[in-house]
Amino acid sequence: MSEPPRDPAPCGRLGDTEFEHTLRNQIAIVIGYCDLLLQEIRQDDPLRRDVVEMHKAASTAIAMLRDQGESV
Amino acid sequence: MLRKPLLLAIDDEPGMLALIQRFAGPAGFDVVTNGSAKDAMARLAELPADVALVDLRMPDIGGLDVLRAIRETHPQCQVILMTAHAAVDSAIEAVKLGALDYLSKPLDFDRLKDLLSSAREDIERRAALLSAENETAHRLELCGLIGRSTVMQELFGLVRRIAPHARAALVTGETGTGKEGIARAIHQLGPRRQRRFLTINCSAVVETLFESELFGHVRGAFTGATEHKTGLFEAADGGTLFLDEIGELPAAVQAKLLRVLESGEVQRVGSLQAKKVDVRVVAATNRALREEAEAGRFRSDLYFRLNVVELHVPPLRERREDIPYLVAAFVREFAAKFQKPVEGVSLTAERLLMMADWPGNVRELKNVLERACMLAEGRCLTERDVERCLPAAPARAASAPSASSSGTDLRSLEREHILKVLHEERGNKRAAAAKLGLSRRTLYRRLERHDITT
Ligand SMILES: Nc1ncnc2c1ncn2[C@@H]1O[C@H](COP(=O)(O)OP(=O)(O)OP(=O)(O)O)[C@@H](O)[C@H]1O
Repeated sequence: MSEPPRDPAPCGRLGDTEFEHTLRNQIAIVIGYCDLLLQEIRQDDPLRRDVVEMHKAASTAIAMLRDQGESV
Repeated sequence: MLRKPLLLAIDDEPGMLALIQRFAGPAGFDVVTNGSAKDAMARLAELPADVALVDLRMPDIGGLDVLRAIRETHPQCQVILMTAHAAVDSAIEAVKLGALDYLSKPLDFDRLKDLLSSAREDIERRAALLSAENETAHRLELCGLIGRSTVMQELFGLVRRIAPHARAALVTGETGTGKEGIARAIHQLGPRRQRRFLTINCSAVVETLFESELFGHVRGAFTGATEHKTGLFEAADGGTLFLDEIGELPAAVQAKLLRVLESGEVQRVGSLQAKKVDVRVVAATNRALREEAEAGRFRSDLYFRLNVVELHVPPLRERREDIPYLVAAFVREFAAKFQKPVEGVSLTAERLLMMADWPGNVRELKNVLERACMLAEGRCLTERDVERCLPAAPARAASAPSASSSGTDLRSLEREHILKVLHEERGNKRAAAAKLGLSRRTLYRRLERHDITT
């Protein structure tokens, strides 16, 4: 039996490059804003820690995406 | 104040554009963003962007195509590509196409900041270069002569110091280096600036007429002398006489010239009466006059008389750092002359001009820019604009003259060949004429006919 024709990739599936590309971009935006905030927020500002956490989480997400991309 | 530089950001991701705006605004840029590459390309001509940040991967048109289009319409614009997926081959391609850098997302703002500030400095440097009102520029010039290099600044300093005193000077240097300009500066900065500056090109005078040109003649002195004639020495009395290409002076005239310099008196041909003249003599040569004197081809006593002050103008290839400043000045001059909106040259065109050999020195550079400005269409001379005005590379012309000018006529071949030989002989016309099998005078006529200014 021949392979069934593939549907256009449904949204939200990892491994689909278009989806992955968009996701990467969105996370890059989050990280970008975090970077800017970290440059502007004073060292002793308690809000700083929150931004650091956001930055950390987003960076982890992007690293996961990168690993995922490499294993595909 | 200079206007703010304009940054054009192109990305299909609106969030990314907002982020760039948020960053680049406070960094001192006017920011224009566009979410559609296609739309941005259509408007490129109206957007005088100085820097562009372009996403590599966009749904309608790829970043590399946008890069190509920008290089085409705004050659002076610096392009930085961004990508969420760094890929080696597109990075290499981008650099080949002339991108300033290739950044991966998330953007490294420190790196971007460095890139933007270096682009900014570049823009400001070029704007300052082009501004005619620039004070420093004027301070570093010598009577309109441009030279920022150490060698030229030293030469200008020497001219300023000797100009008030020297009775005679010898200016040496290859053709087109600006020897006449230096001679004029000596005159301008000396006590005789209100008086005349007269020029004679010793290689363009028929041998038999030399004496009469320089010293004048009385009626009946020789056949054809139907009137009295004032010679250049008398006409320049109180001022400066510039003897260009002094190395071409016939031996008999060399002797007479020496006598005039020593006695301060001239005698018109056919007259016994001597007349006092007070003339400062500046001579110029593109030959190694000392060697000519040593070999007995030039009177050494005359050489030493003229050589009291020797000013050597180095060839352009030994002071390439002057090129951007000369280019800026010539572009300004010719843009005005031809009423073109040309403001400068692209970075790659500048590189090309910096690297060329310039056997014809500043004059050749000036001619190239004159042609380029005449033909130019945009605000900025591109690599191509410049390239088509550069003479064919000498190596190529030497090995295959017919290939580089295939389909052209004999006239252009002749012109090319003369240029080539002149180049090989480093502008020495006597040697070039010998090599071409022409008399010096015939060579001069050819040069004129072919509009070759040497
Ligand atoms: N430093 C300079 N700044 C600006 N213009 C220059 C400079 N040097 C030369 N030029 C220009 O280049 C052209 C050639 O200069 P000039 O006639 O003084 O050269 P030259 O050495 O006397 O040449 P030749 O030996 O062929 O007589 C002129 O148009 C002159 O204005």
